Amino acid sequence: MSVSAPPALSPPTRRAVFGFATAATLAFAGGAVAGESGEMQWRSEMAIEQADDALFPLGKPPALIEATGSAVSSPMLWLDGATLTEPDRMSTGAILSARQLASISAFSLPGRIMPAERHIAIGLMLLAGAAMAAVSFGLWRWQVRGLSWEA
Amino acid sequence: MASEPDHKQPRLGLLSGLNALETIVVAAIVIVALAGMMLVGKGLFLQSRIVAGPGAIFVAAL
Repeated sequence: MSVSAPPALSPPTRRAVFGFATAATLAFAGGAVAGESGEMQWRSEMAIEQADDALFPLGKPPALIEATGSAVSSPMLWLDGATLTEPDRMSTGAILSARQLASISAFSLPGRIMPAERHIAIGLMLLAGAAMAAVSFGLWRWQVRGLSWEA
Repeated sequence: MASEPDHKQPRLGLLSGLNALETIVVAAIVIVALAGMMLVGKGLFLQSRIVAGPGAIFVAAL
């Protein structure tokens, strides 16, 4: 199965499409930095999509999608307050960086707004503690009273 | 055909088989578990609000 080449555009058209795509990308990037309104952002996203359809009929390269995509569709948002360079600064080893140590020490600071992951982590710890306590209590009562319910 | 005598007494309550101390222990465990589930739920809600934005309207999908 051969992949057919996209239909060739005439040089003026290609130049216009490239210029439009570049301008739209720059406008979108600038708007994202400046935090422009949602309507304008949506318009520029639509313009980018149309330009991408003209430039890449077989599909946009994934690296280009990651580089120019909106922040909402980026999985980096699942980290609290993360930027696109967050994975580069993230340590996956057992030795914590100073930033991670600081975030751990902030774990017990009172009056701080707790991000989502901290809520989930503390909730899971409470659930684990409750499960361990329930198992311990059940085993203790089984040892003392046996399996009879009314004892 | 009653092969075994019917000794079935009405089912006791969940906490009626426990003495006072055991009831307190079970209540504490239940409270901790409920708090954990509420925290996890709130964390998931905050996570979804991060993704969808603070002004998002959550419509219940039936």
